[in-house]
Amino acid sequence: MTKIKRKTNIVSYVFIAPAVILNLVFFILPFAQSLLMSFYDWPILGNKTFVWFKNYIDLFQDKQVWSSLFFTLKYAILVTPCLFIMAFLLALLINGSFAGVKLFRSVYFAPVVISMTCSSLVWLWIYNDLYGVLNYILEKIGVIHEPILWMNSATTSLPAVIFMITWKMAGFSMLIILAALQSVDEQVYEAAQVDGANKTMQFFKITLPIIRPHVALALILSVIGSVLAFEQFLIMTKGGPAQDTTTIVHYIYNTSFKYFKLGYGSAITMVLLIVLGILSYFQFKVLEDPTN
Amino acid sequence: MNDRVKEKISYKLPINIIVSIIFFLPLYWTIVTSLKDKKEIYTVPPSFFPRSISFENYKKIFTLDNGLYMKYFFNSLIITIFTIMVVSVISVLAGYAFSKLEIKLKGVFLACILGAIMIPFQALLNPLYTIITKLRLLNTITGIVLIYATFQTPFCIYMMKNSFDMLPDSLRESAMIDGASEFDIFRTIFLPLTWPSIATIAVYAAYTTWNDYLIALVFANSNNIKTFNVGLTNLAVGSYGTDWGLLTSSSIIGLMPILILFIFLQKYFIQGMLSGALK
Repeated sequence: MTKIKRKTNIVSYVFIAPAVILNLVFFILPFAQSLLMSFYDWPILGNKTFVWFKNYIDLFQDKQVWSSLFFTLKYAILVTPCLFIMAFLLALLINGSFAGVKLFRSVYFAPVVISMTCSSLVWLWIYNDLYGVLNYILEKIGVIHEPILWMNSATTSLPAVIFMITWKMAGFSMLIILAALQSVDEQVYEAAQVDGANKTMQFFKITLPIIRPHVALALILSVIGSVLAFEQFLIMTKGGPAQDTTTIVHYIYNTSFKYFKLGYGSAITMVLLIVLGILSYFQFKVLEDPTN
Repeated sequence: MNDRVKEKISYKLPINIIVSIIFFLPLYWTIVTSLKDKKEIYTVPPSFFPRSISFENYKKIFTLDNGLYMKYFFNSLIITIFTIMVVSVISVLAGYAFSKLEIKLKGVFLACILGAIMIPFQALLNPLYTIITKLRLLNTITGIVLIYATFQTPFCIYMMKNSFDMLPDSLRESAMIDGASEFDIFRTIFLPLTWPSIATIAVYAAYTTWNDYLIALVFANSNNIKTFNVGLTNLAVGSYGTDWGLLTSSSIIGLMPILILFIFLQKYFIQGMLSGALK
């Protein structure tokens, strides 16, 4: 009996070994090392030197870090409501059972599965100043009189990117909201109807409170995703003009792999981790107490 | 109840048709552009139906630079296929062990692995780069597949564990009394009951890998193993940045494999996305 049990034990470890080794080497180890690296002057080639808090001191004086962080947060705060209003409308549109509902759901969800790289290019062509279809339509209906150079300043490129992301990502939040909507028991509505509540009252008094935790979760996920934004700006604005639309991940990438300052890049990453940590804290809060 | 359904048919259907068409327009416009010849692409006013269909742009992307982009496409394909296999095998084994087998410090192992869901890979690029370099895995398929696997398996293990948790332990006990070995029990009894979950994690691995840009950019930057997404971006920010025939045709090539997969395996995409969000 002990022999069998022993054998079983070894087999158990064989089952988890690949996952654990992978996790140790490529997650736990780098996680531990990232903090360490931020105290070094660490070029990609050549010798690393321990510099104490120099990277952090530099970081506080580096205007680009703060303007990137500010821009990223601004983007996250602006894109989220757009996404949610769209996601909510779409979820309401396909909540129910009628002909073609599955097809519509697929159409709204399809942009989510396309890569960010491809959808950025698709929209960059739509936004093209000379031959873009958007400028053409806007001129045709008389909204503008001369073509807008969408990507030439952050005032126009930020809304343009937000519009693209709304098209691309609304389907994802739509699914979460839809799942929440469908989890509401039909009988609750029937009871409310008997009590004389109309559709609008039912929506605000029953539907919204029940789906609130799901919506809150979807909101936080969308904010976290937006804070990590990179490709959409790299491709559509190249981070410019004058690094005005450089997101924090973009700046970390440039610092580490364009200017080869891995140590300084790690220090900036710590700032990103703090922001993500705060957001994750809210995520836990939402999950912890779904009635609150 | 009946009134509710009927009412929805009456007003939601036409709105849905219009909104669907609007949602599809960007893709339609890209496809149409990719099928036009150079002269027609740069014509004002733009034509919404191509006057003559030409596959010139598709031929061009695959012959450009001696078929370099063809190579990138196959690199993406190979990396994606390997990642799917590695992620599935690791996740199924570990998911089963975490659910059904006796392991010391199970909680610690599980916490470490699930920790990788909370910390995005974007925050670990620099140390990963030094580790991969030290292991001499930079610019190798092995290296990039291992990194993808590290950041995809946590969610997949979690998903597989839940799936095995739903199967009763008594299945295992009775098979053990019959003298079946641990691996046989796993393979013949439990594995066949979890195929839908395995399909879900395979699909998750497929689109996450195919669509990735940043990991591929950092860890696969030599022409030999560059992925299509990275090649596509080089094309867009490089000297072909104004050749929209080429850029639209290559975007279509880049997004088609996943879109086709989505059309056929929708259920698994949605399942993966939803449980990923509500984990």
